[in-house]
Amino acid sequence: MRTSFTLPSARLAGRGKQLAGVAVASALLLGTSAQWAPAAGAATPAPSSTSTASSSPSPSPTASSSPAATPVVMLTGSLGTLPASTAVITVRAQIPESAAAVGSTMNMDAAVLGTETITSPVFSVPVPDSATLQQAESKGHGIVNFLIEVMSGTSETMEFVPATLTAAPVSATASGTSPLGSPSPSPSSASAPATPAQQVQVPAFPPFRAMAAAASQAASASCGSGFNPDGPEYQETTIIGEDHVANTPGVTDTFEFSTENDETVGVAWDESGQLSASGSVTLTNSLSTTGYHTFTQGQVAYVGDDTIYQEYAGCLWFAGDYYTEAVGSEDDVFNDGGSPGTNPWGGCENDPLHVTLQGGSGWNSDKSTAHTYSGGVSILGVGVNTSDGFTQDVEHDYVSAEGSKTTYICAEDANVQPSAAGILYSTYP
Amino acid sequence: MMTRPRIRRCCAVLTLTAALASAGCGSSPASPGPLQEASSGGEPDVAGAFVLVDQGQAADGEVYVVNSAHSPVLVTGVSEVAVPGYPSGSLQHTAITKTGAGVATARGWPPPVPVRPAIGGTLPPGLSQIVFGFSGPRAGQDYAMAGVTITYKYHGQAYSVTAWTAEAACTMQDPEAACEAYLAKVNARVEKMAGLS
Repeated sequence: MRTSFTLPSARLAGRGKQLAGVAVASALLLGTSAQWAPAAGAATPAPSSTSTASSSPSPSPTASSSPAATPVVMLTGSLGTLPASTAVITVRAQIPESAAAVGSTMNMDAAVLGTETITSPVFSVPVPDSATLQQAESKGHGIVNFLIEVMSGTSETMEFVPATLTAAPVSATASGTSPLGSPSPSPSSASAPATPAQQVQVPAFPPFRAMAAAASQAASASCGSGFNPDGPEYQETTIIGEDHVANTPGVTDTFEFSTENDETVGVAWDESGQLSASGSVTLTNSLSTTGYHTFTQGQVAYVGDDTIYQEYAGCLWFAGDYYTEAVGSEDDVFNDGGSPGTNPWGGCENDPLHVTLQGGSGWNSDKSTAHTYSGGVSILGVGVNTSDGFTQDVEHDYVSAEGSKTTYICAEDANVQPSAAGILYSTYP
Repeated sequence: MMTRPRIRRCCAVLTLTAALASAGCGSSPASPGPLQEASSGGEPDVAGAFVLVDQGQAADGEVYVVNSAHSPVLVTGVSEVAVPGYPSGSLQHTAITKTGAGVATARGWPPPVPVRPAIGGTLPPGLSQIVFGFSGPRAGQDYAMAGVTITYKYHGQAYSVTAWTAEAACTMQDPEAACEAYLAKVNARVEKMAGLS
């Protein structure tokens, strides 16, 4: 079962930008009440192991998947110290609606993709293939925004973790689709080896906080969706990518950015409702902006955007929970400075999949793969897990003026061609 | 604030439909073969490139394809896909890269990366690049291509797949900015053809 509700859409006065409406499944709310209310159950230690995993926890709705399904994603991380002797981890996915539509809403599917009961802070939650996961991946253009909730005793924490799925879901593999460069098993082979689960490292969670007294709270019309805008919108510089231009006269790269169609959402919360020291901040699919900036010879810099954020505060079962979502943009793209990583190849010519760019030519690539930043990048003044998330709306236009030396373009990762790369490097040689 | 027009993408599923329709290969089975255009996030990787060339000089571009089978496929033909409304020139050369190094774009043939003949060549499992060179007959004329259709055999069956790329070959008399603008128009058209907008 999947139902949703939508927070009222808003508009940025004077900017004319359409803003995000935020939808969170009411079923999630209800499901959460069922899950969060009997939290005492979560305090029951597992009798014989430190970790028990299941893809079908009761009583929450569950994704339709085979009980014996091989996990396609494995979410791993550590919680530091558990408030109680055990903790229950629940994984859901956010599903953007109508990704092509501006001003569309986002749904949090109520289906639980995976759970794990742990007795030590280290966890590893398997997420099997399911219709929900495939839907989230498809509508997210390859990115699935996981919502991971952890309940331990009377405490809780949660965060969103956007992940670009690189491994094909089991069902897709069986139909012949396979990750780039990885041949799929024969469709006719019933005993084909399972594709290894994609490992997703979960960043540090916000600190545990006291769980809201859900059972004692009656439904309130003023609560509406469960999350309401909390305070005014505010603007922050956000890193949306990086740019690398060879130190050769005549070579430029224009970084073009449109948030249309994009998705992923962040969560950041603490007791006071302010951004906490952890969490994630990304952008939604509800924005419609375009901007560009041309970088010139030798520039290596982060690319920034003035992004408008709105904080939402939870009520009822989400009381005490806060999350922040990007709801608009100033339509700008600029050199944010900073020091992104240097070329991992020591020069693009060393990447076996590099491409050459001669003088008097140009090459552009419209991204269909996002780059996910993880740690080490300061956004909103906190070290966060974030994603540029722009699965198809970050475009690089490299131009080499006539008479310029031949330069080389390459990807950050091995075995990835530049046309599919999240970050591009340009070097001479 | 700086803005400029962009196009929106939508259904990638149209890509396969367009590929099969454009192939025009009556002997091909209805089911898609193991060779597919490289994609990310469920959508094809469509790059664009322009290059200034002398009359008759080849403008080189490339496409990426993925063989999802366990064994190689045999390339039996490569043909150009024209961009409606734009002079297409003609496909002069095709090759398979040997090392993985490719061309964003280049002028002249052979390309500045190691290659082997495409026709009669095999594509192993995984990622491969097809490099091609095209040119037009008239001086002072710009030309464009939308990609190539690759026909191939796998286990005795004939298949075809279209790999999209926006390529513009401009006369040397053009300023780069003019050719870049020309490419932008071609690119918009090709992305629509590929089902991306």
